[in-house]
Amino acid sequence: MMRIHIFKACLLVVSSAVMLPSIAATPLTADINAGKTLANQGGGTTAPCMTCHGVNGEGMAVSNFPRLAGSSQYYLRKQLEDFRSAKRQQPLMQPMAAGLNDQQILDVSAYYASLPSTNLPEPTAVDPKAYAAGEQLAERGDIERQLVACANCHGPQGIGLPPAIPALIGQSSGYIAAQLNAWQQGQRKNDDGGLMAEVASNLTAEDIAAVAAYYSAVRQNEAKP
Amino acid sequence: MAKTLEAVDAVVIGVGMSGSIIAHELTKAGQKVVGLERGAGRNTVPDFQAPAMHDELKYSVRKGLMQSAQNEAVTLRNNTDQTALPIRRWQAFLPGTGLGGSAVHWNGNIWRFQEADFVLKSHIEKRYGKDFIDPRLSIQDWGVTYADLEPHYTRFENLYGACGKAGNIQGKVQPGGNPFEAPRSTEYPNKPMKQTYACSLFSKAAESLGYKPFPMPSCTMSQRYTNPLGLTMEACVMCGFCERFGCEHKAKASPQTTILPVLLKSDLFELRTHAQVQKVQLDKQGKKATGVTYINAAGEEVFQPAKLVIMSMFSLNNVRMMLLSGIGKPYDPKTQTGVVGRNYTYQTISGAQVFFDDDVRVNPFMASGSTMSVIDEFSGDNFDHSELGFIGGAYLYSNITNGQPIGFHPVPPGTPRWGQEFKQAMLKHYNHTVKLGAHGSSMPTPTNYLDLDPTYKDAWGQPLLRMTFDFTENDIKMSAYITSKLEQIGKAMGGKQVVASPRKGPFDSNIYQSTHNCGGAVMGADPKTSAVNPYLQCWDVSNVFVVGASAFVHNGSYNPTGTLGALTYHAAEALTTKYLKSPGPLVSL
Amino acid sequence: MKKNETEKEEAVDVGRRTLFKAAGLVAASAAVSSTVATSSAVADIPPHHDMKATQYVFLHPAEVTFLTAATARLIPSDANTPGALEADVTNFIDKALASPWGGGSDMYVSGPWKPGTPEQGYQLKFTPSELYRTALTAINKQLAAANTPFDKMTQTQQDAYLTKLESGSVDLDGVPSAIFFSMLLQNTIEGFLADPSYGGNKDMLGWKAIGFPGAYVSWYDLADKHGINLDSRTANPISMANAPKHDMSHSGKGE
Repeated sequence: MMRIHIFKACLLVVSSAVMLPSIAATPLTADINAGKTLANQGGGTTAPCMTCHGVNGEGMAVSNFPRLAGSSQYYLRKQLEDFRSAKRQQPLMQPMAAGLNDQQILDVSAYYASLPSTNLPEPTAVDPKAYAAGEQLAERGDIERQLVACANCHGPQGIGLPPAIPALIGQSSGYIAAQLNAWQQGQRKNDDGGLMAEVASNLTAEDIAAVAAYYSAVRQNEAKP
Repeated sequence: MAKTLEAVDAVVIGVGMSGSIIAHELTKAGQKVVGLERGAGRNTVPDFQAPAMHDELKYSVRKGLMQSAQNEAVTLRNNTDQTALPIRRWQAFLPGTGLGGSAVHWNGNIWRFQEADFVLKSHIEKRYGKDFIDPRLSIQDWGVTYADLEPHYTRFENLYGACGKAGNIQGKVQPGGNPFEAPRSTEYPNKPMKQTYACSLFSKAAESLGYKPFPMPSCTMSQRYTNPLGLTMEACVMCGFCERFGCEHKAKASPQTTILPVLLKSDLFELRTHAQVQKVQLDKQGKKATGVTYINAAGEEVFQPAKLVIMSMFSLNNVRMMLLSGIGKPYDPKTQTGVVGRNYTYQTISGAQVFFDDDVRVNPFMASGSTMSVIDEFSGDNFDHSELGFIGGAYLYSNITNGQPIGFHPVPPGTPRWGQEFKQAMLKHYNHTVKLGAHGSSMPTPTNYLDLDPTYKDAWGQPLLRMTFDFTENDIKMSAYITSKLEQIGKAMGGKQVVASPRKGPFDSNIYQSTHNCGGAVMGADPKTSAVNPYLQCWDVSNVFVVGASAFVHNGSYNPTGTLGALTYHAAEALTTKYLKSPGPLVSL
Repeated sequence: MKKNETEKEEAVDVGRRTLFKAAGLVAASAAVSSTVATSSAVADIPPHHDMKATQYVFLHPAEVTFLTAATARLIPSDANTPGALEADVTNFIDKALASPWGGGSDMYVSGPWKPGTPEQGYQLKFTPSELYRTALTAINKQLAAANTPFDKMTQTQQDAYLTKLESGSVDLDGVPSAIFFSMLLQNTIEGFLADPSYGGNKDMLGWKAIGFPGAYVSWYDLADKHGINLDSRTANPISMANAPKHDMSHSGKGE
């Protein structure tokens, strides 16, 4: 395999695709346009995604609805499947996912993955103390309490390590706090190996608020490789 | 003039894996213990955090966590006809330094030795006859049996959170585990790790040849685990930075993750870092240690009096400290008398590379130091040696533990070292090559030994350790035989090219092989052929214990850490239940 | 390029982490395109490299010229992938030689110095920076005297000269040329594949070419998804250099 550098770069910009070896006899092929229709108009019993997740998948911070634009197709698809199978429990999303078949899940995941999300919102003001405490936990951890840094898996400033590990940067503090609480309380147990439940179980309410404040407000350093 | 401090009950030299366990056991017994560590203190946070820890150049290529070669090197010659010269850069083996020692940068493979290993001489004579053993091998029984050590193996595996599948519980063979292993009292505390693609390719091929592959027992965690001291490790995320690195995720067992947080809280324990021990001081008769002299970070000479001295440094440094302190009779290869430095052994490692086509994506960077699949059919005495002309063996394994590209960019033989063809081969094969390994035993011989170098000195003016070592004919034969078995598995894996490389002499200090330097201060029941008794207590100086792989009489087919952990608990038990009640020799002559 | 096997595979998106760096990537690929165009247009002449931007702290200009041309032959650029030149390997070597490593920090540097067996390893009294300075001075002097400066040779002539160094047949003022060559080759590979923080592997070109995902990695979920195609992930690695500031102040116990 001589992966051409330029080819790779183009591939990334155009489709950003990861290939899984086909396991099913007739693998599904994602239809981004069908996904877009579903996202904007809904289908069957499923309401349009955009109602809550925004016209451009930017989310709705005030209601803790996460941004979807730019998440990996792998991750989005897994979440919808897990809502459907109740591995991830959330009263609004479970019925939505229940109304989707495999093809629809693939399509809508591909659609949101295809959306650019260069436009992270201006961060809302957060308590500087909470931000600093959140930054400490997120980027460096706290050995006194045997906590390792979130960054080890979610990347610096929570930029995510796709395809499996989601970005946290730019999500609302409400969404992040809700997820950490869900991991802690067992409504969410859909990660492989239960790593997040373990991590969340060590966090206090103050920790959760701090980490949520940090990720909602941090914005990436100018990349200078 | 040395500054003399207030006396303590015990001094532990080297606060790594063994030192932290012994110190903990002694403090539990009410002893006031000082731990002397030549390196710096360090902890998971902040010292091992990503991304700074994920720096191949600094830690793997430039050996960032290792003993300073500038301050303390080892000199090497392959035989006594040569003049030993310093190994000026660590390459073949990598002694660690700093709090936690080499157990910070290890890969996390954990094994038990075979029952036969501890009674090797008796076992071989019984199975193959007295004449079978090459007279050039100085193998002997260890003075301790597997049954003696089994509870201590279990304790250590519980402390370090070993992940695996038992193959033999109390004599009953268990499916999915290693059917050849010595009987275990219980299952491993944790399930095995996930198996990577390289593991699966190896397992399938091994099964097709009738072997029984199983997952490498690991101390990188398969799941969250809280050990008996209440310390919790996290599941390993397979970042691919184990060997030569500290773990950012508290997912690899080390003193930092398993015991130090408890030990350091004890009022009875005091850690002193940057304490470079010069020697263990003896009384006028040379029968009792009075304490330890070290140089602190300010360059001051300090004498720490103590009733008990534990050497728990890296094996090579244990031997050197005995020699520098005049404890035990140095080994003389001419007369083959003396014990300190005798039976130095290593690990006989060989390998194979399996080159696949583009459709096999190995993704070598998704791994821990222990994500391996293994077969044990050819280890130790698990197979009939009667027609083979050697003793010992090796376990065979898939050897993808990381994809760090400076160190891992396999190219097929015949590829130029540089230029366009090299570059293309490097890029082409990176993600499509599986390395296999054979992890072989090392048998002692009278011509392989350790002593003090007559010429070269360390930064404090003390003689360097001199290593006189080459692979024995026995081990070269073993490697040739075993590596051919490895090659067969490689071929059954379906690659387009298999390149096998059996180990050949002379021992080469330029090529990384293993940091399993063993022996030199071996244990045994006979003071003429052992430096320490079966409780790791010095024969000549009864208040000095030498705890390390330096006690291994030979090196088995396995990674030494599990056996070292068991010996450590074995020594600790003797110390706390016997020695402290009645200080003096635990074995009378 | 041969059509790859992905047609039979199911495409799964890794997502737009590109979002955070797409601009950089496009710029990088554009830069490579122009380099490639230049070098393929004039086949046997070394590609031009603009070194004005780099501040060298150890190497002299003549040494920079030689190393830049020589490392470009050790890991050449081609139509498909960048080489040592684009990865700024000379800058990596410069910074390495100026670092403690260049001064022999990881070596036992005391005498007496004696020739040993190959198995005893490196036994010269030179630290890496001394070795480079001595060897490069001798090389440039010899080539200037013969009026054949390295960077003016054709690629074929350059390769022949490097082969001569590799064979050990050139005396470089006391440095055996084979030892210098081996160190240069090792450092070139390092400069192509080490974290960009050290001045080489510019824009992570080496990592992207070989397919290494970089310093931030967590694979628990994917480790048992055997054979998964991660080309688009490894085309987009993360280095220490583009990670956020890392506070190394000590807060932990155990000191």
